[in-house]
Amino acid sequence: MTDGSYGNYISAVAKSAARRKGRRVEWKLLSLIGVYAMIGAAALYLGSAGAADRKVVFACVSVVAAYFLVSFYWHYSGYRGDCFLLPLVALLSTTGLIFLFRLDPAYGVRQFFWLLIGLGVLLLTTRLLIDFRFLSDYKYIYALAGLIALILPVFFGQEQGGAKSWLDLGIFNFQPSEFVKILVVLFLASYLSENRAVLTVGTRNLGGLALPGPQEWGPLLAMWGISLLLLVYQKDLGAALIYFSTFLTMVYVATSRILYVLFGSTLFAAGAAASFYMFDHVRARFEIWMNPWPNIETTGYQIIQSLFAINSGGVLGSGLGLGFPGYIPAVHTDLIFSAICEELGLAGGAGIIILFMLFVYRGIRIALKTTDEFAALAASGLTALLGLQAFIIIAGVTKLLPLTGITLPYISYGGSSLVANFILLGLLLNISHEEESDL
Amino acid sequence: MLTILITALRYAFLLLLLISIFRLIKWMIADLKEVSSQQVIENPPGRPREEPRSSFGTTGEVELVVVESSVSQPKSGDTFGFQRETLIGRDERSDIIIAGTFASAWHARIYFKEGQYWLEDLKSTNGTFLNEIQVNQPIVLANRDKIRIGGVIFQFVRWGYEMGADH
Repeated sequence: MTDGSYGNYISAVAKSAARRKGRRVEWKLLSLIGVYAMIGAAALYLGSAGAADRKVVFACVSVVAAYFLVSFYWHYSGYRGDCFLLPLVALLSTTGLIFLFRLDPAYGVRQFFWLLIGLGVLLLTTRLLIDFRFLSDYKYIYALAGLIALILPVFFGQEQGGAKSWLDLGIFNFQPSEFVKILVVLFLASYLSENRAVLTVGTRNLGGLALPGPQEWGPLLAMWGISLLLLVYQKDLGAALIYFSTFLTMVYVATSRILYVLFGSTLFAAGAAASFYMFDHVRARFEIWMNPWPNIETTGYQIIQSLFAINSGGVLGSGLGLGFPGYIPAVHTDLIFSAICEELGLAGGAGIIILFMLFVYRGIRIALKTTDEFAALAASGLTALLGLQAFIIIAGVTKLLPLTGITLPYISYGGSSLVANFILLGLLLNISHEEESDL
Repeated sequence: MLTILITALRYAFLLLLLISIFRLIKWMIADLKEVSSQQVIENPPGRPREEPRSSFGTTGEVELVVVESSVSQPKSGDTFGFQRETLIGRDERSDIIIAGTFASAWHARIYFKEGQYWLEDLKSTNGTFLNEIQVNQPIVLANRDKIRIGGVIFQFVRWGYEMGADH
């Protein structure tokens, strides 16, 4: 045996030891989450005195088992993805599942099936897209596909909850914007990694500022336009906010020039101000946000009920199953965080926020560890996407920002959202898998 | 009775959510410490990478850093330079003296040959481990390799490898 291959052999042994240790951490955490889900299911089953069926117990057992299966599969196939992301998502999604069973068992059952489908999609993503690098080759196809998917609902879409962003596919309704988000991140990661140098340094000088030429400005303006179109035609303020803030984050990550962020925010603010004067529904949203109390019976009802629920929770909450979340409209999707705050209190609500912060921390770590530009940008973009979505909806239900119709990732009811977020998780894991193998 | 049980379960649910979060954070911090200890060795504070280097065999280019130590000597963080031959053992005449009874009097040596540093176990009682694999015959050391003798872990650092690529 030559010395070089012996050295490689030794480092391979050390690495596989580290990987096994990582998966063991994952199993320990998943076991703890399993106990957590069991106690939640038992409290729900016993507490509702026969009204709730034993489906909740069955669903929790199956979901935890499914998470373990995914982890076992990774272990035996030698997958090296990050070992904290899966437990984080498991904790968020079991909490969501238990709360959906508590709110309405019918939603709980459907969410259960969507979770299993989501985990299947996660496995497929970590298997088929494991060499995710080829994704950077098709950026204009994403741009086109994304654009079509976004425009389709404008013509053929159905309006649900004030936003016209749904497609009726017969069996189920489908929300393309959930998937387009990921396409947008991949497109931007590919585009920015190609044009990073030009955007950072600039090609022309304008009043002491080095600025790039219009071919590099193009996407920025296009993104701005698409965000505003979404805002205006689909009344999808939440999606517009997510797209634009993710975009600015990625531009900042790529160029580290705060100028772009300031300029982009100014443009968005200008556009938002213009639409405030031009469109009634935007103005209505804004007025509800500033002061919902005069319209307590009508337009302000939702946010006020959400505030009441959060307030009544106190520090430790009313206890699972003892609150009155039925008064909150759309409590199973957008406003599920209010129900969690009501029944688990400040402790539970803060816990959910911490979980999202930990997710973002792991994502940023994955982005920092990669040496490749496309991978780093994709990881930071996907992380920003998830973090911003959680932030915008939590800020919405607590009236820090105007309430917008987006889901709380992994917790809210919704098939499109759940499956899309599992794809996002799979892509992040693939990036961390690659960097662990490269070292 | 049942109501007490249900109330207990409800609070246990919240408690377990928080415990799970604490466990997650705890493991993540452990993970972070592991990484940062690696990075400290890669780039020790107060030691600029562009340090002028003399030719082979003297300090500066190559060194042995104590990463972990369960004995009084050497201490964690100590660094040792190299001669053409460096002896490690319990004996007072060794170049690197390890206190305690675990190490043999002449435990191992590191020597320079054909442009490489080699680690050789000198038939010690308790063995020498390179990256947790027992050393039976002389073996070439690479940058960042870990050498363990009893409760003392050294890391082999060779700047020359990284600098060499620039020329």
